[in-house]
Amino acid sequence: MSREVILSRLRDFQNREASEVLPEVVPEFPDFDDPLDTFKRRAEKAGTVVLDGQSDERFAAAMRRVLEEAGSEHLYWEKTAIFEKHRIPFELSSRSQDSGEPGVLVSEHAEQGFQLPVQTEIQSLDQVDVPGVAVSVASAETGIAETGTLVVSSANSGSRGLSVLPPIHVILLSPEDVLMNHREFFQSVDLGQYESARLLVTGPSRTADIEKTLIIGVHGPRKLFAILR
Amino acid sequence: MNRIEIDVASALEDRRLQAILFPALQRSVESRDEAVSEVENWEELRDFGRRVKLHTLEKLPFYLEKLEENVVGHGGKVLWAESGEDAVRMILDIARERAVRKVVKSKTMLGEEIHLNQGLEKGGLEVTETDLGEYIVQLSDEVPSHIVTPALHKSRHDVAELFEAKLGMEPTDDVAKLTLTARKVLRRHFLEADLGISGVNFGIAETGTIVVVENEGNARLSTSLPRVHIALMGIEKVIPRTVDLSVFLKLLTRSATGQRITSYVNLISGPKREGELDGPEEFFLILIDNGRSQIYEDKFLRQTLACIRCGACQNICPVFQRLGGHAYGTVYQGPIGSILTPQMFPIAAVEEHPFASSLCGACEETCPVKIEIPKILLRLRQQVQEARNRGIQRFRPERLGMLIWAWVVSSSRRYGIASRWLRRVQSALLRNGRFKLAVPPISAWQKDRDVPGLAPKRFRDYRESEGAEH
Repeated sequence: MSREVILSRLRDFQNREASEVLPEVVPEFPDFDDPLDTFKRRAEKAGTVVLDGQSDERFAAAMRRVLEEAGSEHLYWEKTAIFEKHRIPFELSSRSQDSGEPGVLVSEHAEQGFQLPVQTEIQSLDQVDVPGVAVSVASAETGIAETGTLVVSSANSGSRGLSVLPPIHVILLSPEDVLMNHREFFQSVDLGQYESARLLVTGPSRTADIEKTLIIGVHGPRKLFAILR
Repeated sequence: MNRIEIDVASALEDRRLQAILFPALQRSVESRDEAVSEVENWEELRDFGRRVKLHTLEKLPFYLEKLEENVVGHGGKVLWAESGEDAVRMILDIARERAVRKVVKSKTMLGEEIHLNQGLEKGGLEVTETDLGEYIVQLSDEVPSHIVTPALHKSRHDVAELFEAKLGMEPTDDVAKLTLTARKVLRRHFLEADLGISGVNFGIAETGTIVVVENEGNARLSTSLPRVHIALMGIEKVIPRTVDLSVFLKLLTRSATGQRITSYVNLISGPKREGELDGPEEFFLILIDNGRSQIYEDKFLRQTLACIRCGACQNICPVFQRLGGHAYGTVYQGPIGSILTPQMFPIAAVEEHPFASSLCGACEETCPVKIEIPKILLRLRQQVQEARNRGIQRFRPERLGMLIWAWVVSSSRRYGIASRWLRRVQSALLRNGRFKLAVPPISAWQKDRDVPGLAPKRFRDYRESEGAEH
């Protein structure tokens, strides 16, 4: 067995007593007076468009801007759990059936001129015309101020693939979920407990593989929106 | 002339390469410096990273078993490969049993090390690299010339010509258009592939999570869309705790690309779970030795295995800056390559590599985990020389010369007398202001080196007479 060969070889060489102790104290990471403000600035520096959607009106405006940017009428919400968590103001199931158009939902705020067509929760990627998806919407479990990072989990946000496939990606973030720095995040997170994959997202997809020239939008989205909601 | 000298000469004469190489590496060095200068306790982070790595290496069997246990706990499978060939065979077996035909790969230097693409293609699989740089290198049938930016040696014109020839693209010099073309071509491969293969930047023992750091999103797609995901990990890549990752990520991304963090960091714990929308049905982690346990033997040399593959030592190395990666003729190039390769694969072809350095120390200074590269280079040189001398009992003028040299320069009085004397007689020995001595061993030593003549006046005398005010 290769396993035994490798391990016994390593054990043969191994010092019986470790002289290098695993350091207990992790070095300091920066703190910020206003983590939310730092999150916004650093996320924007990394190329994320941060929009405020804390009031219903502002949220509607933010979503209109996303659809405009995408040139699309369809949003793919990766899980319906997102609606509840972020208080998305639509009567989902009933409206969807009433309108007669599957997947197209009309907002209660129609009188304010806000109609939002949505594709509801995806059951599996097979049902989705993947190349046709223009915008996917996920929810961040955490934001990290230090780097302007959004953390999405395959357990509660949604798809592993859809976080990268569509040209436009939207991640909703509750302002109270913003942590100060990476030490705080990695000390508190329990990796693999509930999810097969967590993704730290900081800005759109990028490459500098040709002559170190920065190009945005390689395999993943060319535009990343973070909407505070 | 041996091979390394030939490659040096051709790299230096390659005007296309020289035009892009230095500016690109210089830019990397500058952005790394800027990103690092923002971190007040950078030295503390480096010390922490080094200590965690050295501790983990000392306890490697313990942490590898812990990692294995936790990956299995998530429903993943763990395989151990002694050699590159073993690993390739395992992947082919997995692929055959599952009727896999198409493979997408995200960037893995370990894959390069074990010649994975050739192995899989020989086994009848269609393999596509999906990192843009790796894709370019694959299309042009070359090997990467840098750990982080594999197509560093290619200009936009080179890439345009390549895409024109291989993909039928309209001629262009627009990097954005070239990138978009690659995106379109590769998108199809992602959606059709049955197997995704990735590397591993860190394996967290405590949670059984593998970490894949990237900017393009191709690793995310390679590890999420195909029904099988195989992750290749060198046995030295394990780290004990989740919280250690906070420090290693900071060290890695700032050193590698000068980013506070990359666009994506994938934290993968096993295959798709129940209730999840997508993700691979099966997850394999292959732990690969392939010469690493040989390095493990020596307690001092073992720190070589602390490397986190950021490429910062390549960027800053004055030798690499002039030659690029291909001149080394190996998978791992530059300072780290010169200590890694001869130890992993102790063969005559790479014996010269520890000598391909000026020992300026820039690599150690920039290394995020403080690997003492110059000291290791010296130790490896010593080993090579000792092996060469073995059995040879003869008078060695070099040794005598060095003894005399050491005696002269270790006293300022002797040094002063010697230089005054040399200044008087040197005109007979100089050609074009340089010493040219046809006496061995000096003649051999001079083959690659210029020894300028002494200045007409000592610096001290010059300073006293003319430069006193400075």
